[in-house]
Amino acid sequence: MSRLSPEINEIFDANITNSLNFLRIFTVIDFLTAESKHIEQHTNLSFREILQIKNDLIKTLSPKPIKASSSYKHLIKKSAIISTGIKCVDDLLEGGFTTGKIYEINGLPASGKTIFCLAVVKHVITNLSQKVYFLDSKNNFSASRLKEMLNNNHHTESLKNVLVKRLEEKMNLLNSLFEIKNELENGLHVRVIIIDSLAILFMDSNDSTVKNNVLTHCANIMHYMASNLNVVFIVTNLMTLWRESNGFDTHDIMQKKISCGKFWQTIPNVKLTFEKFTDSRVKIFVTDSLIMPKIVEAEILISDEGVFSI
Amino acid sequence: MNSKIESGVHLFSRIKQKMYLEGINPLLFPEDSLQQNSVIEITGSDANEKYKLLMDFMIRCILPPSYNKEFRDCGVIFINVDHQIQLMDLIKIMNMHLKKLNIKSKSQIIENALKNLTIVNCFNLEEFQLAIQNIERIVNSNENQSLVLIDNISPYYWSQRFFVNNLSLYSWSLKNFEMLYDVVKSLNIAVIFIRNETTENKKQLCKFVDLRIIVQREGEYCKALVLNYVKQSEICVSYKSENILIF
Repeated sequence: MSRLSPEINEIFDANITNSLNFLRIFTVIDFLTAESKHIEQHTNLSFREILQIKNDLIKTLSPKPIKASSSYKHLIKKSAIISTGIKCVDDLLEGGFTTGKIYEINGLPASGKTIFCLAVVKHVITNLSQKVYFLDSKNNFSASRLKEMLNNNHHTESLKNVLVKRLEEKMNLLNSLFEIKNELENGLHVRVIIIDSLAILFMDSNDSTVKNNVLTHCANIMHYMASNLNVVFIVTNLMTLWRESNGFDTHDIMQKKISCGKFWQTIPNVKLTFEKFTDSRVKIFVTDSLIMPKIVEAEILISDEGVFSI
Repeated sequence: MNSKIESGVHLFSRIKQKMYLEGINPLLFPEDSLQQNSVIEITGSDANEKYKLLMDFMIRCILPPSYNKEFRDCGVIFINVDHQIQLMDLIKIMNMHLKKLNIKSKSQIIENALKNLTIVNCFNLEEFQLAIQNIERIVNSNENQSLVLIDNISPYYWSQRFFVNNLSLYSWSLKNFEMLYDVVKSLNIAVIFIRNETTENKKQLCKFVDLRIIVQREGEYCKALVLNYVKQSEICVSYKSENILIF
């Protein structure tokens, strides 16, 4: 929240600010929502001056309204669909991951989420020759595994296009996102940011207020980067099985739960669920999207060489 | 808040201007239940269905009536806080609507419709609150503006809750609504916003909310219960919810 200060508007000198603070007006929003007459009575500002300051603050500080027609022209120039390199997944996503969106990949442990992310990394750095940010909270990002998947020494040069950040705890994620935002605003060209995995960072949080507060800040910056810097986020998240006893019934019901809580579930634009049904075969379902694609499931084959369409 | 001097004639014409939204969705708003300054909230447990209904109002508002009498060709201000309704998706949905009407040259119609839509993207609480304060300036800059849409009246709840212990989602929604109503009450403009709630109840958020639409998904259909607090009546409307809503 912007506090009243001469930097905000030169009228807010120490004298005026003290008088306003006495009225419990500390921030720009406090000032804008306070009764102008009330301010007039307790400061040496005239009613007309107060209205003028309010107008100036709204004009300079509020987010700029954009005509959808010009935003559309900008999107056509700047947005992209990033192919995954796996045909059936591209078909499922109607071409690939669309910039401007946050995708969640959820699934039980060892359902192929990380290997899928590595396959996307491989495709983006080699076939698309673009950089990828990989935020690794599991501390298991393996360059040698990726090199193995590249399966071609010629491509090892492409490994330079993978920018890795290790995340120890949730505040690392927030700080890393801010750092990446600054890098992107200073000219770094990255279209794909992968976070693998979100769940680990928030597992130790029993306090949902603290956890959701950090998630809110992360979501804000992710939405900002997705929209304004034309980035796509791919976030892996853990699904867990919970045994739920059904009264006196002897059969327990296994409930699937996606980690990070209900609040996080409101953030991704598209959710993909991975379900392993043999050692090497995984089904991918689009489980949540405002606009559902024509095809809602795909099947991939996972091997040491990588991920393939079936 | 925004000081603007206008003549009595101007004021009268502004207040008595034509009813832009009349007939926008006669099933949900029969007869004269929707006024030019109505305040409507959308609630319900399925997040996507609430966004879809909001998007449906947006599309009906901005597309021209020459193709469907429920399209209005009027200005909409969309305050985008959840970033779930995306422009490219909106265009896809408009295309589907026009395809359903067997219209071939869709791109020009869509481009013109987009001129009716003003988007304000917010990425934190301060931006959201400033965007609300800025509504008056946006409305005054274009005579055609007739609807304000907000995809979440209680955004950034958890960052606020971090500072205000025991803040309920309900009171946070109410606080933001009061700020919004303070701005829009004299603008003669309709407002539709989404309100999320932790437990479903039929309690009126505030006496200034005129209508409430409770959306509930039932298989491939949706049920919209429209509570009209002004007329003390309620109606239930069923519609098919695919990517476009079919009433």
